[in-house]
Amino acid sequence: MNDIAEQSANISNIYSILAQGMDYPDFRRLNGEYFTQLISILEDLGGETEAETVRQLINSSNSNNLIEELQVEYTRLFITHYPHTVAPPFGSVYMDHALQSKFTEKTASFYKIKNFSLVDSSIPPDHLVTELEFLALLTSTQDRDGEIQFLNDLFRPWFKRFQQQITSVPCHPYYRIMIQLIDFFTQEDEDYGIHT
Amino acid sequence: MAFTLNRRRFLQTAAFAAASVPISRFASAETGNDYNSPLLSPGTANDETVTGGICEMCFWRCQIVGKVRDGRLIKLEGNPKSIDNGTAICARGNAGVQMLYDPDRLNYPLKNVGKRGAPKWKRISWKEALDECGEKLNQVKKKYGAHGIAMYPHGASAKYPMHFFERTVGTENVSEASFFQCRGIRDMAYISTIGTPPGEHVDLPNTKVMFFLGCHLGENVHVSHLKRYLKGLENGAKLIVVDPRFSASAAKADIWVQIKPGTDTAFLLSIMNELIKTKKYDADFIDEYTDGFGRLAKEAAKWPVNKAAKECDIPGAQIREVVKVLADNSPHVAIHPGRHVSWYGNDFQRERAMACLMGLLGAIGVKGGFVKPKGPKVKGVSWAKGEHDDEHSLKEHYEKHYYAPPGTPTDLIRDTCLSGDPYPIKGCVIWGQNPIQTIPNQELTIKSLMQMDFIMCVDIMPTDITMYADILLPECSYLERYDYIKKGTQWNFADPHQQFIAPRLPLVEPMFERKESIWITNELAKRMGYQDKIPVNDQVEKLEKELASAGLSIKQIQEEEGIHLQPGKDPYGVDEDLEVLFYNEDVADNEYPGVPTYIPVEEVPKGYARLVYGRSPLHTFNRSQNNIWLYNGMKTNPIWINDKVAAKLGLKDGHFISLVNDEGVESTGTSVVKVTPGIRKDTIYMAHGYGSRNPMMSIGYNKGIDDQELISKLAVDPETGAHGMRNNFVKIKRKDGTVQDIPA
Repeated sequence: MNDIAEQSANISNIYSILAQGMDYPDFRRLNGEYFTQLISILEDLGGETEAETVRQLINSSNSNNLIEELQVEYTRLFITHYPHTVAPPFGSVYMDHALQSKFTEKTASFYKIKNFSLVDSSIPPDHLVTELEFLALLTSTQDRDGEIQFLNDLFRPWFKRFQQQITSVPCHPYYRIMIQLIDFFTQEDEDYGIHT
Repeated sequence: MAFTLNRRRFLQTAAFAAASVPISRFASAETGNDYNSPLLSPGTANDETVTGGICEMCFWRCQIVGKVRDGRLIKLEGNPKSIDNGTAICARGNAGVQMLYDPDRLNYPLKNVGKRGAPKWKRISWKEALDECGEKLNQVKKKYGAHGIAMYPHGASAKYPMHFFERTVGTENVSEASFFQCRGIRDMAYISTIGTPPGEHVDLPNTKVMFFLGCHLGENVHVSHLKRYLKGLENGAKLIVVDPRFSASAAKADIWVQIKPGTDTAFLLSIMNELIKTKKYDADFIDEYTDGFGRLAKEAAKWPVNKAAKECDIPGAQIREVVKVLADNSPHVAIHPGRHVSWYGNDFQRERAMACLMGLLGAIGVKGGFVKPKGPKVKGVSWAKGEHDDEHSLKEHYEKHYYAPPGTPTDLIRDTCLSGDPYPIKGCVIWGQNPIQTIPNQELTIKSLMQMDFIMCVDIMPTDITMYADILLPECSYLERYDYIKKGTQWNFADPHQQFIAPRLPLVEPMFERKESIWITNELAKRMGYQDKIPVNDQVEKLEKELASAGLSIKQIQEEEGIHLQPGKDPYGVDEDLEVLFYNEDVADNEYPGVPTYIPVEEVPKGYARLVYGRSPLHTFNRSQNNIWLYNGMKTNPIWINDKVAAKLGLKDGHFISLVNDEGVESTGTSVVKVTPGIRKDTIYMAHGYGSRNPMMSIGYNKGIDDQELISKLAVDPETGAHGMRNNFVKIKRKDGTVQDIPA
């Protein structure tokens, strides 16, 4: 059995992999190593069907086509789409119906009390990828309480609504799986926690 | 859930390497921070006040400051140093915060990989977007010439790119809605009469009479404009309002003339005839400053009171009452020039008549009259004009619209797009304008777009027109960029004379990948082969150069809290070069009426009412229609229907209806009925700027009725080529599909 430090490193690495996979798709981010890691996570979770889906995606089209396909889908789901962007990936949109709201401020403030600061102010602090990266950093310091508080107070409340919006429409299998994984790794349940 | 392990078990048993791409959004950990819990109110102690903002929720451009917390704009206020709007801003100005953070805003360059009108967007890099724009526009230019590119600009940020396409690339096919669907007619008519565009320069605070024709201040909200108006009322000015509707201004009027739409010029001529007949004009002023009095008198004489009263459907006694009030108080009367004047397609003549009335009363340069402020001079910096002749001018080709404002009449461009005659127009650049909701007859506009080889749009929001873009570029809003320099004087000429210079400075950093127009234009210019002609490298250099012409710099402006003040000049007095052309020989030589002439418009057909539109204090057309703060203040645009008409139709306040026009166009949206005695039986009114058809505008989509959709009948003012937009007639369509005639 892994010790606490290893478990922390594990969840930190998983958060960072999820962040990488949910950023705007390009060849640098969605490289071969990334897909290998993703498939490995899915297999270890017992998600054979999902792992096979990812394998098929990689094998069924050339990498150019796959990246472009994912770029169009990412734009549709998260950036701009006619008639509606499916699910803007910002907490404040779900909590306050605006970008850069009080909810954003709370999120940014949480980063600060955990002694982390954002490099790029052009993207609101409550972007999904930013929050996943933050969770990766936080868990790398073995801050279990901080992780739980962040997930409970600032992540899950909006992520659930975000997830509902995505699952309410047909969606590319890659993003369906990614959302499923994020949900799995951020969910609170009786067994939740990286410590015994 | 297809996974067979739970999270805890999984983490205990598995082992994973870090991601292959390192975390990029956070800096290394800081230490020693002393922040409150995120769940406690942070208070306002650490908020920063950022000065230098210039509002652009409308064109009036009030001076503002921003309250900023951790880079987030939380509130806008009037700049306390302002001698124009002062600390006040309007509802729209306040709602700029919501515009800035609207979730529907455009954030990244987009390529349409679907169809025009039903786009499928793909985020692309700026390089890819600009490469494609440059390449496609160059292809159009090479194949069809520069004139094969049309441009529809709007707003302060569109000036620089407009000059690039017009002066450097060399297309004359540039059409601004602010001219051809708004105030261009007014400006050209006044230039043709008193030699200068009028702005809204009437000395309202110090006048004895305000005369508004179709102008509804109060619904039309510009802060310092309203301050002048209200100060005038406070000082005891009488108010004459000519409007078929009991507008916010009519509600404060001493005389409300409920005129029949389209007959205004007959009314004005009748007033002038009565002034002349009773010798109540300013004879000295006329002797010294005017030309063509006799011809004007002759034309005005065609409209004696009784005849005009019948034509305008108003009491003759009311015309005489108006004449008396004007004459008794002249020359201290403010004949408000209006602003949006593209009404019927006979508007140049009406605007000339307004200017002539001013001249007849000697109400120019005097206290309470038409008085241009003496503001500071600041030289603009933009693209140099290249050596382009006018051989492709559509105005020249068709030999019409000799008094068109700068640019080319929209109608000529659109017709040419559709016919290919005299040449094809196959490239289109749309910058901050939404021609779908500004140009009459949307079907023709869409057809003209569909035949283009390439369309690029630059905007902050996914407005209706952006659905037709091949490449869509996200622009910084007015709160995120440097550009426009607002100049002026103290709002009330009775106060000590001062001038102000207030350049727009950003209140916050731009988010996402939004870019400002100087950068976008320059990058486009490089790709189109005009690198050597770029006048400035960036927005800061442009502003510095412009401010330097007034001996200022950005640093100095920042030190002066956003506004530079300097001593002003007395604006009163008549310019010795002034010549009021009651008769304009040049206009006559071009075969238009040389003196203001009433040209009747089509009568309202039986069973219909004329559709007229106006402003809402909470909206600036489609620019603000997706703003949820403003939306919540006025969710739809009520349809004003005369109470007697409504009673016959069984309509009550709160009913939702749609409208169908005399050309069979039915409104896509519905709106709420407002039953009122305050509108003529033959007229239906609604506020403009509702009913977006782009579902990406999640707040404004299909809310209320888009009046522009119902304005399908084309009327073009012959002198200016600007559109007339109050020539359609409508019937009521009930929820059950029944179409009801409007009873007489």
